[in-house]
Amino acid sequence: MEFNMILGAWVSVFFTLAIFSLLYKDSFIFKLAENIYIGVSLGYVGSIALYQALKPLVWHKLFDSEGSKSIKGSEQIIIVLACIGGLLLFARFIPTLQWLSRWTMAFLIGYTAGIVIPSAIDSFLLAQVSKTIAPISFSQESISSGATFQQLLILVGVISVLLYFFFSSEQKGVLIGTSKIALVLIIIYLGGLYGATVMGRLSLLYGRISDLVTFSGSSYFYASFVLLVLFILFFFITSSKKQPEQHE
Amino acid sequence: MTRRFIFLLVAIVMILPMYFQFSIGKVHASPSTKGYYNAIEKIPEGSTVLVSFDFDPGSKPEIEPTARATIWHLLRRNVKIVCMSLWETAPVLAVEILGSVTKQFEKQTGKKIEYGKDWCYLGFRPGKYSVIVGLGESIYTQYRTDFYGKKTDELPIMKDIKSLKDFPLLIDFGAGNPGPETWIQMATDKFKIDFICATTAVVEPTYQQYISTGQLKGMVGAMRGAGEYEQLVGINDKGTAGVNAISLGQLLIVVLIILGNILKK
Repeated sequence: MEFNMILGAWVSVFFTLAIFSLLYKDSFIFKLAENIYIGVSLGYVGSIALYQALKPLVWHKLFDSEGSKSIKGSEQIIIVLACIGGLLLFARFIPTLQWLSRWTMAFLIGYTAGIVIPSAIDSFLLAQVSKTIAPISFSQESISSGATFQQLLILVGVISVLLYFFFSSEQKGVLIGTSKIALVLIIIYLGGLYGATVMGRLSLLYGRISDLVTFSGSSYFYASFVLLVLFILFFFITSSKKQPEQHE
Repeated sequence: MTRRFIFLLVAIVMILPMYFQFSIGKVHASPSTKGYYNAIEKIPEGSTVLVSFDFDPGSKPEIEPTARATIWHLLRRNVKIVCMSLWETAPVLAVEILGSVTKQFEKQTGKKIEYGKDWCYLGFRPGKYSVIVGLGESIYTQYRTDFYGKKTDELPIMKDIKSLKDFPLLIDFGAGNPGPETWIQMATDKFKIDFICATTAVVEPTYQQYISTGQLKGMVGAMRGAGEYEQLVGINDKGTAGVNAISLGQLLIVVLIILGNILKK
């Protein structure tokens, strides 16, 4: 196995155990890992922005001889204007020029709203409504496959939940019945979301444990076992040193 | 002390299935996972699909198994793969997954898989919505070069591809925003492209509505879904292995919740 793979495994195990050490107690090792993680993440995102965005989209099109020939002069002007707009965002850090950043923000908000709102109405509202108001099928096939029950459930669910959040009239009479149905459905939905979240967190834990198990093998020089023992020793020594102070 | 004991118990329960290979039951594919599998099976051989890697290291354990199985499935079906990312954190993960799966596929099947001809990775572009709008007009306005700096229009795989409309299927490995909802909103509904996705457990329930409306042809949810999909594809990888550990972990949490409620009384 290559040296860099083994080194990578040891680094990975160290930081995994360092972050997990918070479950036992907060320590210098956890804080070290936390700060390094933030620094590395920022550095990584910065380098991706540099090499995957600024270099191909700005530098290549403006200054590279081959790249600048492949686009029209008007396109280059647009790129320069976009760069100026981007730089104006940093004007927020200069109190006297702070107002300049609002121009770019106004453009971004207007542009995004223009793109997003019409398509959101189409994809998220009209598509959902048209499916909800589609005629319910009572064919033998639909009934036996459970499609009819599903359609009825969706219909009852949508109507009752909409009425539950209809605050313009007092919840009494028919509205009490529908509100109770809505409440049950909302609770089931929230329970489902909670269950899914637990499953998601366990998947993340499995990912880390799976790596720890892989790196505990002889090909990685028992990285997980060695570092686990060192961590236990570290906590044992630091806690035994502090004990006399606590008694005092 | 109780909290630490619970953490230790969860860790032990999750580690056990990794050292002692056992199964706690047969994995049955859900309708949404079957839809995902069938959408890939439906693509004619030799077509080209677009795959977007939109996740980060935090969601890697949930999405990576499906991503690996999907690339394998597409290669087995002789479907060409054009990949890209809307997340700046995705390129390193995408390159690792694509590189290792193609190598593994070559080794096991003996078939030569060539970069630029059978698959390519275009890389990350910032701009979320505007990138997709741009791709709808022309791929080359967004990606003049691929991740490795090669000219996109010179790649053989891109010969018949001009815009999003030229892909019969779009696959998103998406952990949030931009992700499956962004693709539905900006591309697949507009250009009438079949769309499937692999996502995390946290957002999976909220995407079920798009399965009902047909905006999503199929979806693989987290590691459970990955295990189901691996069974359909006929491979035994991280997803299948993870299902047992996660099922045991969930069972433990259910027991702890019940115990917690009883003991409180």
